[in-house]
Amino acid sequence: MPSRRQPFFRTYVFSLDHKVIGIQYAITGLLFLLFGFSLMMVMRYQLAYPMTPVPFIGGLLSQANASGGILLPEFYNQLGAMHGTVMVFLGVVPLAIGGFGNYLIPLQIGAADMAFPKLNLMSYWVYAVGGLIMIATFFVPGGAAQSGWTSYPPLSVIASGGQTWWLVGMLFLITSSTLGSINFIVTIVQLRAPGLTWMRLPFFVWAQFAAAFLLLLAFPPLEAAGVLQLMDRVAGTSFFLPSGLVVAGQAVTSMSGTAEGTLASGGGNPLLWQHLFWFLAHPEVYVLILPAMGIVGEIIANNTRRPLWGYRGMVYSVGFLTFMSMVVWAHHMYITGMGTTLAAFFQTTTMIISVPSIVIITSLLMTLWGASIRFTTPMLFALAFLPMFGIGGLTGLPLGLAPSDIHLHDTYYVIGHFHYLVAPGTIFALFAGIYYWFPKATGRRMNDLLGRIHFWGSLVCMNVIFMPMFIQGLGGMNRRLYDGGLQFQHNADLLKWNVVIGIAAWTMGLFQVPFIINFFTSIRWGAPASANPWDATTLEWATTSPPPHHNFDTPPSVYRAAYEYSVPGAERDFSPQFEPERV
Amino acid sequence: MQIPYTTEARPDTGLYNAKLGIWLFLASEVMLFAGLFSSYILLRTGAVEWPHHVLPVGLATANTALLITSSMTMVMAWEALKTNNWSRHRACLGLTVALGVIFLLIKFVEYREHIAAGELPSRNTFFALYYTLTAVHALHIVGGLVVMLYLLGPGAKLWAEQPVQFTNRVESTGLYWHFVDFVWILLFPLLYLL
Amino acid sequence: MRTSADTAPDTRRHVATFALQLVLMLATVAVARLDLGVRLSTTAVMLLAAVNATVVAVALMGVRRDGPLVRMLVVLTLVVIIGLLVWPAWDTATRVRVF
Repeated sequence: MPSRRQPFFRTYVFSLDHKVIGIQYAITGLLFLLFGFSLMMVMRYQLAYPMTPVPFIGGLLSQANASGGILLPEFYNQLGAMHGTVMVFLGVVPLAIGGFGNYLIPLQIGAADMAFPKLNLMSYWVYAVGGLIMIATFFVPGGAAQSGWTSYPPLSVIASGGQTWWLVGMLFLITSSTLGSINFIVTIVQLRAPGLTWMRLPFFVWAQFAAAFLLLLAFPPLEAAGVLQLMDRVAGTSFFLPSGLVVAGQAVTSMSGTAEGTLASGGGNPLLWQHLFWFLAHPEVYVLILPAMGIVGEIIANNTRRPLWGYRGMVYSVGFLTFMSMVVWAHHMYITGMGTTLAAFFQTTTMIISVPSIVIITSLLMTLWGASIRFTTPMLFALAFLPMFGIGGLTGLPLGLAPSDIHLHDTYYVIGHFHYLVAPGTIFALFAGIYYWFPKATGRRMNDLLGRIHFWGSLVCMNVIFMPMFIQGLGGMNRRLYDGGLQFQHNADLLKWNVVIGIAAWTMGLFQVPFIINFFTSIRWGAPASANPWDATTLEWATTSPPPHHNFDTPPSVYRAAYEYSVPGAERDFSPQFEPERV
Repeated sequence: MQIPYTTEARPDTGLYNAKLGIWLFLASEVMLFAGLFSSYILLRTGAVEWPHHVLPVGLATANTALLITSSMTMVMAWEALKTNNWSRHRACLGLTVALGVIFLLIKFVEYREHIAAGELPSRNTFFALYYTLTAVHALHIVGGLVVMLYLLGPGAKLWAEQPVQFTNRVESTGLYWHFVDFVWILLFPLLYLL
Repeated sequence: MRTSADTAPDTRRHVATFALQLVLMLATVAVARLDLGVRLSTTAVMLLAAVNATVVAVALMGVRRDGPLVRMLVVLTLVVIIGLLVWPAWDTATRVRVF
C-alpha cells in the first residue's frame, strides 16, 4: 500500500487518479451488473412458473408489486425495463469504458494520467448519482420505469412517475458519458508517449477511441429526445403524442394541434422518439462490443505469443464499423410502416456493417491458427468470446433483413440474438479482462481453479439460457409478456423452455459465486504478481504492479509495434514496446 | 505530476489539450441541437397546420444583434490578453456578460408575454418546440455566463500566476460562446421567420 | 493620444465581420417578409442564416486556423448531422402510414 499524505476521502473517494476512478467505475459497474442480473432471476421465476409465488423474494415484495408473492404485471414490466437499463447503461458501459478504459488507456499510451483528471472525477460521480436515481425509482409511488428500456411513447408518456426519474437519470448518465468520451479522445490524441505512433497503438486503445467517438456524437440526440419526453410528461406538450389519442376509452389528446380544455394538444409523432432513441441505441451496441473486441485482441495476442493477424485491417475495420454504426439505426423500426426506399437503405447498410465485424473476428481466428496457445483463465474467456460472438452476429442477419424481421421482431429470437453478443460476448470479454489485468491493478493473481469453475459453469449456462430463445422466437413467442407467453395458444409447446432457461439462469447465478469470492480474496491472499506476469508487450506492463500514482517512474518511450511476439532471431518470445533493445 | 500540453500545443496536432477538448464538446453540442432541429423538421412537415407571425420578430432581431455583438466583444476580450491589455480584457468580458444577461432578460419578457396570452408549451407543437428550443439554448447561455463570471471573479487570479493558461481558458470559453451564437443564428429564422 | 496607427488591423477586421453579420441578419428578416412561398422562402432564409453561421465559424471560431484535426472533426460532425436532419423529412414523405 503506497503511503499517502492525503486524507482518506481524497485518496479513495474523490481521487483524481485515473486508476482509482477506473476501479470505482469497475466495482460500481460490477455491482450494477449483479443487481440487473438479480432482477432477471426474479423475472425468470414468473416465466418458468407463471402465477406462482416467488420463493424468498416474493415474501419481501410489497403488495403493490406482488400480491401474495405473485409478481403483478406492472412490477414484471418494471423488472424488465430496469433489467435492460441497468445492464446496458449502469453495468456494461461503465465497466467496459469507465472501468477498463479509464484504468488502462493512460497506462497503455505511457501517460501519467488522463488529460483532464478533474473532469474524470466528475464523470464518475455524475454516473454514480444518475445510477442511484434510477434505482431509487423502485421505491416511488407507481414504481420504476416500466415501458421497456426503450421507453416508447405514448406508453412512456402516460406511465407512472418512475419514468420521469428514469429520464432524469438518463440525463445524468449522458452527461457523464459525454465528459468521459471527451477525456478519452483528448488523452489518446495528445498524451501518447514518444514513439507511439497511431499504428503502434494497442488494439484495445483503438477500440476505446472509436467507442468514445460513438458516445460523443450519438448520445446527444437521445439527450434531446429525453428532454422532449420530459416536456411531454411534465409540461403537457405533445412531442410524441399523436392527435386523437385515446387511452382506456378516454381521450388524451385533442383531434387537432391546439389544446382544448385539459387535453394535450396532439400533433406529435411517436416515431420521432423511436428515430432519436435508436440513433443512439444502435451505436450504443457497438459501444458495448468494441471494448470487448479490444480486450480479446490483447489477450489472444498475448496467449498465442503472436502478433495480431491483420492488425492494420482490424484498425481500418474498427473505423469503418464506427462510421457505419451511425447509419443503420432504423433496422430496429422495420415494422413501423416505413416506405420501401427507406427500408432498402437501412437493410443495405445493415448488411454492409456485418463485414468489418467479420474481418475482426477472422483476424483473431487467424491469430490462433498454428499458434502454441496458453490456456490461461483469461484466454478461456477470450476464446469462448469468438464462437459466442459468431452466433450472436449470424442470428442478426435475419433481423437485419426486413422480410424475415417482420416475423421475428419483438420475439424471443431478438432477445437470444442480442444476449449472445452482450452476455457470453461482451461480459465474457470483460471477465477475461478482469482476470488478465487484476495482477496489474492489485499486484496479486486471481485463483486459477476458481476461475476455471467460473468459466465452464458460465459458458454452459449461458448457452442453455439463450439458445432455446431462438426456438421460442421462431415459434412466435413474443417478448415482454409477463406470463411468459401463457396467454397465447401458439406458445403452448414453447413454454417448457422457460423452465429450462429459468433453471439455467439460477445456476449461472450460483456460478458467479466463485468469481466473487475469487475477486475479493485474491486482493488479500492471491499469489504475488510481478510487473509483467503474462510476459506481455504493451506499456502497462512496463511499470510495477500496482503502478505508482504517476504511473511511470521514468516516462517511457516506444520502440516498436504493439504485438512483437515470437520475432524470429530474438532470444525471448516477446519484445516489449518499451525496451530499446530487442533482447 | 504535470500533464503535458495543457498550455503549449503538441507539435504534431498543433493543439493544446483544452482546445481539442472544447472542439469535441462543441461537436457533441451540435449533435444535441441537431436532434432538436430534426424534431422540428419532422413535426412541422407532418403537421396539418402551422402558426405564422405569432412571435415578436422585432424583439428577436434585436436579441440576435445583441448576441452577435457579444461574440465580437468576446473575441476582443481574448485578443486583449494576447496583447497584455488586462483592463481592456476585463471591459470586453464584462460587456459580453452584460449583453448575455440582456439577451436573457428579453427572452424572459417574451416568455412572460406568451404565458400571459395563454400560449403555453402545451398549446400546440409549435409552442412546444419554441419553448423547448429557446429554453435549451438559454440554458447554454446561462452556462456560458457562469463560466465568464468565474473568469471575471475568482478565476482571474490565474492571470497573475499562469497567464498562458488563463488566456487559453478565455479562448476556450470564447469558442463555446461563439457556438451559442452560431446556434441562435440558425434558430432565430427557423422559429421566428418561417 | 490614439491615432489611426494605434488601431490594430484586427479591429478593422472585426468591424467588417460584425457589419457583415448585421447585414446578413437584416437580409434574412427582409427576405422572410417578402412572402415568396413556403419552399423558396425556407430555402432562401435558411441559406442566408447558414452563411451567417459560417461567418461565425470561420471568422470568429477560427475553424480553419485550428488545424487538420479540427477540420476533420467538423466534417465528421456535419456528415453525421446531414443524416440526422435529412431522414425526418424523407421518412415523413415516403411513409405509408400517417400519424
